[in-house]
Amino acid sequence: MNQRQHTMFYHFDIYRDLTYKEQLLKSKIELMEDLGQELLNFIKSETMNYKGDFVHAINASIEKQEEINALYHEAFRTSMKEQAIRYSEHINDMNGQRLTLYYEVVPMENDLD
Amino acid sequence: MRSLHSLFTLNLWGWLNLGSMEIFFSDELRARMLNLKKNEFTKDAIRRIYLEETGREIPAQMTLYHSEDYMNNFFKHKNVFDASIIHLFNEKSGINQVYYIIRGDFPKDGHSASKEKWLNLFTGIFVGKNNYEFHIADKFKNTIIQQIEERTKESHVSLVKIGLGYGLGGNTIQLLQFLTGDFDKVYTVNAVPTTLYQLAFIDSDFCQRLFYEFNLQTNDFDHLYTINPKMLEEFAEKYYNKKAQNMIHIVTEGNIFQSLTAIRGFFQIGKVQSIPSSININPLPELIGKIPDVLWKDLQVFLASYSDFENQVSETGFAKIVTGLDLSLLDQVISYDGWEDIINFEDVYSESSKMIQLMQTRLPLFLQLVEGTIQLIETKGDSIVKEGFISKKEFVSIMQELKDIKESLKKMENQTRFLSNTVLESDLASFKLLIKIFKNIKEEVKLITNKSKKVIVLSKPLHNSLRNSFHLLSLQNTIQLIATEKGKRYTKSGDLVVIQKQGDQSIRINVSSAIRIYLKGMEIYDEKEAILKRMKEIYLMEFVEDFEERKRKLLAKIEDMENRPWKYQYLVGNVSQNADYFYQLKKIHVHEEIYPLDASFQVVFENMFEYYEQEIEMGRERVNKIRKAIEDLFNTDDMVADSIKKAGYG
Repeated sequence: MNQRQHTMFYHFDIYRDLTYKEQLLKSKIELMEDLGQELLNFIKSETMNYKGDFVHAINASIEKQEEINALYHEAFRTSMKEQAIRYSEHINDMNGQRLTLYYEVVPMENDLD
Repeated sequence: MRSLHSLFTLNLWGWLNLGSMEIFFSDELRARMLNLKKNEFTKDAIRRIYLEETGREIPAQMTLYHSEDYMNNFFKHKNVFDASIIHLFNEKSGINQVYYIIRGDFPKDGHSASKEKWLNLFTGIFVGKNNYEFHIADKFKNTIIQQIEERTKESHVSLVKIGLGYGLGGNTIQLLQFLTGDFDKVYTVNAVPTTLYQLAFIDSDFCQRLFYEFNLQTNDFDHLYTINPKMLEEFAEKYYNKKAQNMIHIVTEGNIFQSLTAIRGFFQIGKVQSIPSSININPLPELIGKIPDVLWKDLQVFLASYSDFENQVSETGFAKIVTGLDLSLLDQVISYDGWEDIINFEDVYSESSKMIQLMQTRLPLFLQLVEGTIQLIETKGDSIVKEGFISKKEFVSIMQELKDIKESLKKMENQTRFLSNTVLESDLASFKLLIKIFKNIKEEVKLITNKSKKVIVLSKPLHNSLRNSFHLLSLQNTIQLIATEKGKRYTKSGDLVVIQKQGDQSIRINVSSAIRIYLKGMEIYDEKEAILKRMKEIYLMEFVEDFEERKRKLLAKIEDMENRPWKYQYLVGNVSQNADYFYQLKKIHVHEEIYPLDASFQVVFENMFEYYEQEIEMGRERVNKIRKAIEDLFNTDDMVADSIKKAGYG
């Protein structure tokens, strides 16, 4: 009997594209952005016809904050895309493993003998 | 006063014994509650109004009940009754209050008010011959109070009941108080006063006392109309006086309902707060007061003579009720002119005979009322012209048109009498005669319609006065007048504007708009917070937990492979190429190179979440500054403190 071994690469699962996960969070970032815009529009329509009181100063700061938010929303959207690609690759990499197979080589017996 | 002001400044609102104070403590608050239509009567709207008027949140949990949700259980007349109930509860602060709010809108012009409302005013209140409004109101009150008492039965705070009513609703809430005495306080705004007739109709004890007191040896209710109304009113006022101890009526001077007390049967007891009107109107109420009682009596008797007046009006129209004339039957018969063969000959005769009989009884009564009215207008002509309602020329023209209408009615009466005295056979000649008479009646109807239109056009200045009087009724106008007295103002769209002095300058602050921004801001940041929570859940579920799950499945597969290698024989094949050997897989070793998610992977998400958390927190702070500024505004002006003191709860 002859003992042998062989090392190979084996995929425990088929390739999975998990980049769709980007969309799950991106849609929420868009909702955050829409809500900010909704508040801004609301304030603008409310204060269109009168000027000069304390509300205006607060409105200006909300408006400024929304401008900053817009930059962050964009950056987060890009990050979410990258994170989804990164995760997808990590999972597919993890599913591929090296194996070592141990087996015996056994001669065939001739039944006619 | 000073100590209260200090309490507010220190934000110690909650330390006050709120239970002893009415939550809706000011006239503006109560009037604005009444001004909310049923579709506007929401917790958000009530909260907003309270914030606008006080700068503070309502210090109690709110439960709302709407009459329309219960109407099917009570009564089939869905459009008539319109009320809501607010229950405010906060055991800790000793608040357990219920506000019964009965609306009773009359549109500004008075003309487009729904038929039911006019009917209620005339037949329910003036004549006193219907009580369904009262019964629905009572049933709704009892049903909801029972529910509230059941829900708060563990509470040590007793329930305070407050009634609010506007217009016709003001009439109903007074009736409820007179009959049940259930309310600790009743407030009305421009209410239709109660009449002794409606009370006598609803309240059997009062009715019995009335008949006993005036020694009426009859069971006929209509007999009351013949007694001197002033004496009856005095008796009614004394009878119900105790129940009106905690009743306050806000009345804008010159409104049409105010003038009703000059008419027989109407009386108002309780404290009256008159609000001077800024509109220069013609003295219509004074004119109503000058109409002699006998005419009101005639109208009362005329309306009372139709026991089921309302149902008849809703089914057949006003013309048929007052004259007995069925216009559609008239047109149908006239349309047969020229036909030689009428299929439903008998039916047409039968219907026509019934109509003639009805006209014979109703037309003379109506004619009598019209004649009395003309006579009255003629005698009061000088004062109508003198008051400036219309010119002398317009007055003369109106009188001519009215006399023409009277003549047309007389002709109709003659035609009707002629027909009823004529024996009609079932032959063509008789049928032709019927058509001819009906054509004559139709001509008179056309004349009356045209003359009535002319009277309406000629009396336009009178309409303007009437319209002004109805405008003064409106809650929006009343709220404006109340606010003006307190140095506040409401815009046309109903926004509260406060003028703040800053040095020499006056700054207009739209409190309603600021509150809307505050509430909208809070709503937006609440939503953002909910979304952020969802984002964190997605991150956990889709990445952290998903990774662990995939890892668990992989390890299970690895374990299976290592424990049962024979299942994976195919990995080495079965036999050698020349078939001299076969391979037997004995063992598999998986190297298990499984790495966790990189730390930096987590950091990206955490940074994003942290940013949004801070953004929401800062946003809330900004929006809260608006509310704080409004609160300071109220504290500076002592408005809330003043209102509480005036209400006697300071």
